[in-house]
Amino acid sequence: MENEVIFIPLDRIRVVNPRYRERRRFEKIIESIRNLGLKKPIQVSPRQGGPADGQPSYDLVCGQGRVEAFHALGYLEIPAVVVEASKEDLMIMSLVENMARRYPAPGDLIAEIERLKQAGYSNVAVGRKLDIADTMVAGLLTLRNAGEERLLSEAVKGSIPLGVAIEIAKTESPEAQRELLRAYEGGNLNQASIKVVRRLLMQRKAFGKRLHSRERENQQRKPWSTADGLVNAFKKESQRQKLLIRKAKVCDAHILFITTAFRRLTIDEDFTNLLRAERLDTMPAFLAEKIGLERSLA
Amino acid sequence: MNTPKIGFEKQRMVLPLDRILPVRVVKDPDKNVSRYQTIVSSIREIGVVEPLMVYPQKGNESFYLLMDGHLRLHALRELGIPEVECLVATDDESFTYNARINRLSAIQEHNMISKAVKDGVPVERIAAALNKSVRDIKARLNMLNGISPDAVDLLKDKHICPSSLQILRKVKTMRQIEMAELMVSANNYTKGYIGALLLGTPKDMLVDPGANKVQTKISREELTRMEMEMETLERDYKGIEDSYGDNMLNLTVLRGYVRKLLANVKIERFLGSRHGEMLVEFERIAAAEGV
Repeated sequence: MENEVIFIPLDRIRVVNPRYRERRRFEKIIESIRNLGLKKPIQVSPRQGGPADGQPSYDLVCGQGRVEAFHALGYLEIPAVVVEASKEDLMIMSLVENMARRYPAPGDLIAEIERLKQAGYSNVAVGRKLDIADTMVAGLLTLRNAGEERLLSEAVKGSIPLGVAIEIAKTESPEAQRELLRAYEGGNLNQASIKVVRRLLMQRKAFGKRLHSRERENQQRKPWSTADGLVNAFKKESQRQKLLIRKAKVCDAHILFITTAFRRLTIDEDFTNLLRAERLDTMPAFLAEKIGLERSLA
Repeated sequence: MNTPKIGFEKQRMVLPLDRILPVRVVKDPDKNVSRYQTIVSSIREIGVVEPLMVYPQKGNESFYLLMDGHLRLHALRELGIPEVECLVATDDESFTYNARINRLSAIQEHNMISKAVKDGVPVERIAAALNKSVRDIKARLNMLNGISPDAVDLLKDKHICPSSLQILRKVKTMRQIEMAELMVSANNYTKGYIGALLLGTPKDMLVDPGANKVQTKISREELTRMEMEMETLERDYKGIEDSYGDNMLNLTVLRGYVRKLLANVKIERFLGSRHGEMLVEFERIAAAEGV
């Protein structure tokens, strides 16, 4: 019994040293627990001086995210390992669990997919184990086998859709790549992804498909403290602000033109009659308000 | 009743290290990073916190494949600890354990360490467990001194490094909040960026108006020029930032209405004959994507 994981009611657990969690990441934890289940138990320690109702209560050592996810999913109890330790030790354990650990790396997913494939599992089985679609398993393996580390890394990070990465991998000639970019720009790929695609095509052409170890390091470490760093940051920021200011000015000018034009047009009775006849006399509320009219000309 | 799926067996057990088989190699560079050293120190100070997750090897009952805990296993070997507590997983994947980790921000680390110290945990033990010096931990504890709680709140879950936070101390509270807001809206928390914002800070918003804002090799003239440009830009930027979203929305709606009118042949003809110059401009606006 002592060596067993036991189920503990969520409302008997107190979080001693709470941490704030980013919403989006938390939703991924919930998603993962819903689809794959709880992958490891939380840790608690018996609490002295809890509510005096004869029921045991506990202090949380680690697993705040899992407790909150269980709560959100409507479960009442959670599997836990009960450890007996001093308050001081428990606090240190909690710090250690949060701070002394390896962070996930972009290459983890493909490495695991390859390991499971070597163990003889089908794409469907691998997808089910890792909670991803089997088409994604196949797609990532395609990129891997083509030696497309750059594309793979961006696809895993989610900065471009996997399908896009695969299409890029298939194009070699510069014309075909330009064609591809044009198609994305006209289609439903968002601006951020198009920027990544552009960069990737350039890097791939200049440096090849593989990530070089120097580059890998640079991706992790961003040097600063030189005068150049400051000037660069300054340039980027001033460009960003200038662009937004310019956009806002164009936006204001367009709004001003449209409202002024309609103020004049609506004085022309022939125009308002025509709008009415064509059933286009219901203006956007903002416009009607700006030119001092009722929402409808009728 | 709503029951959760559980990915491990209830029975905990202690396994000798030589019956646990890693499924991947812990690379040497991995070993050198301070993160691995932190794991070694933490085990020395407090032991292994969470059990390792293992999966029985097919056709060889006495051996187990390691699913979660490769760095810890390596550290245990290095420390000469012969056995470790394990749980048996019901699936043999080793990816998801570490994939959903929520990396702590500097401010979150600060908050957790502060709470532990307040609850009576000696700084020395925390330092030993996290492989830091006592001075490091004390610096961590004082990290937010002189920084406005509102700015801290804006940055609490952002990955901003402690030394960047220090720059905020050089400016007054109002400016701290402004700078934090700018960082969030630019989604940029690098030291370089914060340096640029400091540069754009008017002298009267500095805690010490006489102090040099930055120590660099940039010439005085260049620095002054950048300073002035940054200040003006920021003023314009702040002026439009609030109204920008609303205006864009209004313009999108207006543009939709204009497009609808232009699509009507009679109206287009009418505008063409009576208000030719307006039609040209309407067409230009209708054709614009975004701004």
